[in-house]
Formats: sequence, structure tokens, C-alpha cells
Amino acid sequence: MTARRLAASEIAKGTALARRVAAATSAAGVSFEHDGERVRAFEGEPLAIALLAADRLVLSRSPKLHRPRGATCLRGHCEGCLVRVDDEPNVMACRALARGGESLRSQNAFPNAALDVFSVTDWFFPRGMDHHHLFVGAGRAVNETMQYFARKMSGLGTLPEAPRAFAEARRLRVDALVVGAGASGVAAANALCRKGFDVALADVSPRVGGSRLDDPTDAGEPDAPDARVRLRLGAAAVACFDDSTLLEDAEGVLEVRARVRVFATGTHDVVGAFAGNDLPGVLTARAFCRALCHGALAGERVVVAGEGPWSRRAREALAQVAGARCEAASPASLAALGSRRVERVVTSADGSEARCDALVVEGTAAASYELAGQAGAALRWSEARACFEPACDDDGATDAPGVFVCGSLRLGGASLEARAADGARVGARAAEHLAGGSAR
Amino acid sequence: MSEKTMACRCEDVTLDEIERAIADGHDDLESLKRYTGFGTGWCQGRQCVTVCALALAAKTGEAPRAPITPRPPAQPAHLGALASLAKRAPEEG
Repeated sequence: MTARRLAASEIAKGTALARRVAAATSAAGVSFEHDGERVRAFEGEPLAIALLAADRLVLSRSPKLHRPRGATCLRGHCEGCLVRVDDEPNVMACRALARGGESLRSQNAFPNAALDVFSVTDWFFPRGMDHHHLFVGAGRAVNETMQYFARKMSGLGTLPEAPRAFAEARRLRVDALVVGAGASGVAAANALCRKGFDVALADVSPRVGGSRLDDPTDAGEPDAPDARVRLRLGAAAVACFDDSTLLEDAEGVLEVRARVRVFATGTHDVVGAFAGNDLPGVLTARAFCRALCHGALAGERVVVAGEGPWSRRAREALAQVAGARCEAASPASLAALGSRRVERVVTSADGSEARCDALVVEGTAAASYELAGQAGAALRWSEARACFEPACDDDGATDAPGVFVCGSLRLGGASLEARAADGARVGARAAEHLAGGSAR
Repeated sequence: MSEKTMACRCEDVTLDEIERAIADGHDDLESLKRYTGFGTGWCQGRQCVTVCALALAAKTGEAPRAPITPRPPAQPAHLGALASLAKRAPEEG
């Protein structure tokens, strides 16, 4: 066992990590099945974190090459943890919360994701599967036969056996919708609410707090939204059309129409380009921290690559875990090696090699601009952040009327205080817009 | 077998394929996406747009102009849930 569940006695007493883990593991113990094996979890814990704590790293296979994949971001931004849960295909195990009694099965693999015989495909195409040239010169019959097999063997799961019934779509009309309930989103919603506007605040997470909830070095309580704010937790914002935003929660779709929208959607954690960057056991630094907050240690021997807020938190928290070992590596010249999971990390600059169970990567914190872009905000490349971001003025107003952005979406890796202050500032500007005091 | 560098995990597009496509003249993100299929999978570009934009900038020496167009759904949604929009409940609020 390399990834495992931490015992309370292994964590330094009185630390933020000890408090986080104690809170996360106070729920009732439950269990579920994964490819025929029983896995223990705490009720309400993300399934992917329980699987990580049970050292079950290979959760899926990539769609074409059948490369082993596992949870990488642990926050619904990658494809690594897709599994079939009972009759439902393509469930992100990082977002599904354990109730107990579920049956999880890997998809598109035989006999399962851990031992997929089709992984020979990866060996067969050493430079990748270029469909423009794949068997094109070999004649039409060969090409069509290959296409048939390629289509059979790729894809994502199979349909449910029975159609699922969805509730009627709900509709809500408000003055302002804030998407993202982290520090900046809550501050923006409160600023709008205190000016007397009717505000809805949505987040895909079941809790308010955003990135603070994943910080193993800070066990503080996140700021709460005003009681008058219409809070919609566990609701993913899936699309923006005109003044309407579609949210999907456990019941179905909620269409929110709002005169003003404030996006506080934060960032995606991007694992950079290095050899073996998709191996199970390669985690974003934030994912590693999130798992640690639940008492799941992704590896005894950890290599941390890159400098940034989450790798600093990961190192600081690991220092509070008895027996955990941590080494540093440069993300610029990295290669992750291993057959089904990361076993070694090689730094090509100096040829140094380290054995490890987990490679923790602080990559680019790329702005989650998708919804703001759909709502009409112009997008631009930021040289400083090395990612695209929504174009906005100092108060977070974009070129699209009534569309605002705040928090780490526009600031990148700012402090908690700076993000909250930014949310309040942008919320106040959005309130001015609603009151008709602004040209935008 | 893990020596590949993946540019787009969801669609199994390697960095090598991206670099070859850039060399073949696909020197903007939209054209690169249409040729290689990067960004068209489960995550809709969350991971790979940045990786491919940096690869493009390194090859062309220019700052990337625009990302691939962000289209709905911004994250995976159930078609059955979206179909329920056809019969709408009365507006609340």
C-alpha cells in the first residue's frame, strides 16, 4: 500500500491539517464496490478520494490508446476518474459523494481498467493515433475495417439500461446571479444583496468556501453569504444564453435569468507537458491538498514539482505527517515513469532520478473563462499568467453589458483577502450597473 | 509505455501530434483543434487549451490570439435534464 488513509495519530496535533481531517472523518463509515472489491469511505466523501485512500489509482482507460488513467484534479476538470456508478455511465468519481452501497465499474476496458488487455494499442501507436493517416494508404476495405474496430474500442461507457426521469426544468428570475461561491463570489453576492438586490449564488460544490476548503494549512471558516442570498449549492453552471444561465443540480435543470452576472469561477489546475504526464499518481498540487484534507495521503514518497501556492501548502502539510517523505523537482525537465502508475520521476536537466508513489504538480492556474466567454466577455492571452483570461477593466466589468468577473478568475493566485476584497469591489460595481449608474 | 507526452488527455492527442500539425501549417488554435481533435473531449479544453497555446507560442514565437470558442455545455450535463427545458415550470422570484 502506498496511497493510504491517515490515522489521526500520524498528524501533528493542533495543526490545521489535524482539524480538517478530524472534521472530514467524523461522518459515518460506509462502503461501496469498485470492480468487485469493497472500498471503505466516509459518508459524503467524494468517491474518488475514498478510492485514492484505498490505493486504487487506475480508475479508467483513455479513449483511444487505452492508457491507464486516474483521478488527477479531483475537482471535475479532467476525465481521469470517470466510472459507471450503478446504472449511470460517466460519473466523475471526484464529484459523486459516497452514500454507501454503490457499485462502481470501470468503462471501456477488459476485464477492467487496472488490467486492460487493449492497452496494447498504446504500444502499437508510439507517436499517437493520427486518424488522418491511419491505414489510409492500405485500401478502402482495410481502412473501413480499422475504423469499425477503432469505433468499437473507443468512447465512453455504454448507455444506462433504463432511461432516467428528470424533473421539470425550474425557472428563477433575479437581479443578479453570481457563479462560484469562493471568497470572491460570496463577497460579490453580499455586496449586491446589501444594496437591496435579489441575488442568486451558485456553486457546483456542496459547500460554500471554494479553494479555502482544499487548504490543509488553513482550517478557518469561510465567509458566509447573507441569509437573503438565494444559495444554490451542488449546482453546476453548464451554459449561458442571452440573459439566461442554465444550472444543473441533482434534481435537474434550473434556468436563472439575471440582469447582471458575476463570474467567480476561479481557475483550472493544468498539468503541464512532460513525458508521462497522464500516469495515475500524477496529481495537481491542489488535488493532493484536497485529498489530504480528507485524510487521504496520495503517497508515502512524494515528489513535488513547481512553485506556487498549492505546492507550498502541500509541502507544509506533508511536514506535519509522520513518515511522509517529500522531494522537489523542476517541472521544466520532468519525466514520470511507471507501468500503471507513477513509480519514478526523472529530471532530464541533471539526470537525477527519484522513486516515488505520487508526483504532485503545480502547473498553470488557468482562468476558468468558459462561462464568461459564453456570456459575451472578450478573451485575451495573458503573458504573465500564461493562459487565456476574460478582458475586463479595473472593476471587473467586461465588454459585454452586465457581465462581470472577479477573484482568481481575473487575478490569478491572489491571497484570500485580496480575492474577497476584489469580489466586494466588483459586486459594488455590478450593483451600480443595476441601479443604472454605469454606462456598462 | 508512459514515455508519451499527452497534450489532450480526453482525446489521446500527443504533444508530438500537435507539433507535427503546427509544422504542417495549422498555426492557430482553432485550426489545430479541427485537425487534431484536441479540446473536443470530456473536459472541453480545460487542460489542453493552455498546453497547446504554449506549444503554439513556442513554435511560432507569437502570443496566441484566441482560444477555441467556448461553447455550451461548459461542463458535462445530462441531455435528459436539458430536454426538460421544453416543458417549463412557472417562473419563481
